[in-house]
Order: sequence, then structure tokens, then C-alpha cells
Amino acid sequence: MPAVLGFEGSANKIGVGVVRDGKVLANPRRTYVTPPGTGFLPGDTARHHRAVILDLLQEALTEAGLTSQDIDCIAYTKGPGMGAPLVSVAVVARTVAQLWNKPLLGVNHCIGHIEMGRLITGATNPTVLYVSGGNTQVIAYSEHRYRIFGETIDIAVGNCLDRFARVLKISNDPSPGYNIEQMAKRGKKLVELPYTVKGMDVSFSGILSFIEDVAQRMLVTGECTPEDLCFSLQETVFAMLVEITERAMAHCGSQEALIVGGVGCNMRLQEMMETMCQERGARLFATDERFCIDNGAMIAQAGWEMFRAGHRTPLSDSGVTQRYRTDEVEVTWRD
Amino acid sequence: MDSEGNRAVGAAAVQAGDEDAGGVADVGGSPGGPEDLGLASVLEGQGGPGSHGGPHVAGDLDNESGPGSPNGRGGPGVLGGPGVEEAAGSAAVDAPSVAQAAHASGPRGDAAAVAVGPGNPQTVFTLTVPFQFYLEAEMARLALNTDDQRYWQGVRKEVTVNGNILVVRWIAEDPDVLRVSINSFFERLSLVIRNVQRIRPHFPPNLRH
Repeated sequence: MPAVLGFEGSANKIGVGVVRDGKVLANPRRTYVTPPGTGFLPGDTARHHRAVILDLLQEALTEAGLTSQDIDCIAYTKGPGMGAPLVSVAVVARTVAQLWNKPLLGVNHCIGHIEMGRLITGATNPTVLYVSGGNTQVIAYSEHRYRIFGETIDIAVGNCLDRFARVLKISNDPSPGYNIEQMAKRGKKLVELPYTVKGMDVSFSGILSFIEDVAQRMLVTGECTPEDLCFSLQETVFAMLVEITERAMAHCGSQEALIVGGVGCNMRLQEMMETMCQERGARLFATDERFCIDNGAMIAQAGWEMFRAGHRTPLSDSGVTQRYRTDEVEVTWRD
Repeated sequence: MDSEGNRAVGAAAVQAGDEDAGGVADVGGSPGGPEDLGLASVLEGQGGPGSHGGPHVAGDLDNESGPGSPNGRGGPGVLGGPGVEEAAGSAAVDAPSVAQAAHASGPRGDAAAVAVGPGNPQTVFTLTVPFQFYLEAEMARLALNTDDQRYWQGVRKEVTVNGNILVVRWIAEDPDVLRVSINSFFERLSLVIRNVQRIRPHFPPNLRH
């Protein structure tokens, strides 16, 4: 019964988790929040992570009631993500692995989300909608790979939402997406925005430019409120995501859909996906904010699967990489 | 490169040093002798004929460091300013001998951008960090020396272990890139040192050397 320690810090969340045999024993996390109107930069984010990671490690072990002897493997995020934060976390993973003399495992961040989603929800073989600040992909498992059926051709949906929040100086605490969601609930008017689905893929940078422009104009003339804009943006981008997910489900004949990633916390997105799934007679799975949002336990869980399947990452090969495709990993732990 | 950039980097170097202060004191307990360096640094001047790279050439670097340089010297045993090289007398490395323009005006001008002779002037920076045991130094090397920094153009870094001392050598054409690389290395080194301290390993005596 292996116990795996997982380090995650590819964006502004830093988390350390412990998983043993399908049970999450600990999952502490901290978020680097910047002032309204700003985003998080790699150097500052890495500095934040470096300051708290050792405390988080201690917290995780204490919460799990384990010592270094009980840990069988150290998993860390190999990528994708932001360079400086990834490196800072990897350095600690390597140091700890050497100090405790345990094997290392470099984990793909996207696969971490998927494996945690599968564990928590029990979905057997879902079409996965992975939506976050850094990634937007529709994924389905086939023959030892998580295949990408559709994705954004420019920015992630969460990135579009976060950058829009900056324009309106919406607070980043606890996250800009959460605050947009709350404001959207009070929106009454649907402002027409470009709808950019390209076959199996989506595009958000045009919508972002458009709404940034519209915001300046319409808020001045009073044609609409910030709440209306939040509502309109959500309705538009979420409808696009539902469309490409449905397309993939139809292609695969899938009866299950799973939403993972930080944007998956959004209840409106879940609502719209649920409607689509019901129309198709399919089941929707989603996790709560403990596991939707980047966390250490998801890396530990993916690491646990990989460890049991015999994967190892030698120290000499334990670098990080900002670009790491979900389908680059051979998923030997599934049939 | 402007003076703002200089100051910021100088300050960053001090910060890393300050963070390190406690760490260094602990970790730096090396046995006495010629290798008892503390956190010494040697900044070699730009390669020139005879590779003396003496104060004359360092003068260019002085310009570039400007207001940052005195700060750089301030941290406890952290980066010396470019003028410190003559005092260090440690892990000296021959600067690559490269033909040089008569007046390499330093990065404030654009000497770095101008190809002179067979190669561009290069800056070499060597850092030595003593650890308590060979194993700790080796651990630090493995934790810090993976191929993470592929995206840094124009700077080469060699990390080796000599006894219980971690030796890091940078060779770069662009002093700006060099400076950023050194500073970020310090931040990661500080993290490793703190990590080791928090999880104090108890090495059996026979593994210490």
C-alpha cells in the first residue's frame, strides 16, 4: 500500500498532498493573490512558493500522521506551467527525494487533474473537459493515451476570465473567476459577444479583445453594468465549451462527462454541462474546489498510479518543462 | 541597461544573502584550511589578452554595476562587487582569452552587441559554497543542476562538487543575463539550504567524506 507525497506549484497555487491507496490523507494549499487589476508574474509567484513550501510539507506530513519513513515516492509537477514556480517546486522535490532516499516521479499536471477527478467521482471512462487559467482541453482516454480531442487555439478560458477581471479591477481574492461568477448572478442583460468555436477547437483571445473594448464604451454610456458583462462573458464562453465537449462525446459515444480544473468550480458551467448531458442521457461528474483547483494531492494520486505501474523519474532526468502535452504520457496504468 | 535595473539586481543579491545569513552560518562550518572560504565569489573580468582581467577591465563592470555594487558587497559573504576579485584568491579560474576591443565600454554601451575579433567578450563568475559534508554538496548539485533553464540564452553554467564544496561557474556574454541567472540561482540555493536544515539529515560518520 504505497503512500505518495505530491508537490504542485505550476501557477499561483502551491500545494503538498499525501495519498495512499485511493485515500487523500492531507492536502494543504496556499494561493498567491495579487491586487485587483493585476495578474501574477512568474518571479513573484516563485518567490511566494519558496517562502511557504517547506511549511506546507510539514503540514502535510502532520495532517497525514506520517513520517518520511512512511512515504514511498515523491511526485512533483514536471509541467506544463510557469517556469520559475515549476523549478522552485522541483528543486524541493529533488532535495527531499535525496534526503529521504525515495524515488522521484515527474507528473503531468493535466493528468493529475484527470486522475484526481476519476478517483473522487468514480467515473469509469468519461470525456473530460479540463478548464483552468492555463489550460482548456477536451480529453478522452484511448489505448494508453489521454487524447486531446479539442482545445483552445490561443488562450485558456480561465485566462480570458482572469484578464477580463483585471479590466474591471475585480478582486483576485479568492480567485477572479469566483468573483466574476458571483457578479454574473446579478447580471440581467445579455450583451452579444463573438462566438468562436472552430470545429473541435475554441478560441478566446478575440472575445477578450472584444469585451475589453466593449467594457470601456458601454460602462461609460451606461448601456450595461459590469454584472451584465460578467454574465454575458460566462454565457458565451461556457456555451462554447459545452459545444466542443458534446462534439467529442458524440464522436466517442461517451455516456460520461467529467469537468476538472479551476474553472470547473463554476456552478453555471456545471449547470450548462448538466443540461447537455441530460439531453444526451449521459452523466456529469464534477469535484469541489478542494480538487478542482490545483492541489498537491492530485499530483500524488497520479504519482501513485504511475508508481504502481513501475514509472520512475531518475534525478538526472527530473527537469521541468513549460510545455508538456497531455498525450505525451504513456498511460500504462489503464487498459 | 539602466541604473534601475542595476539597483534592483543588486538588491536582489543582498536579499538572497540575507535569507542565507542563518543558513550560511550553519552550513558553512567547513573544516579549516585553504578551502575555508565562506561564501566567496570571484568575479573575473572580461577575457582579454593575457587574461589578467584586472581592475582596468573590471572598471567597465564597475560602471555597469553602478549603485548596485556596494549593496552587492553588503550581504554577509555574498556576492562581492567586481572589485573584490583581487581579494578572493580562491577557486580561481582562467578567464577565456578572447581578443578584445580596445575599449570594451561595458553593457551601458553596446560592446556586448558588437562582435569583436573571433569572439565576443565573455564574463566568468565563479561561486563556491561550502557544505558540512560532501553528501550535502552533492545533494545540492543534483537538486540544482538539472536542465531547467533551457530558456536562458547565452549563459552557460557548470556545477561541480569539490570535496564538500559546491562550485558553480557561469560563462556569459551578456552581463544582464548573467546577473539574472546568478540571482535566481541564489534564490534556489537558499531554498535547498533551508530544506536541508529543516530536515536535518544525520549522516553516519563513515559517509561524511
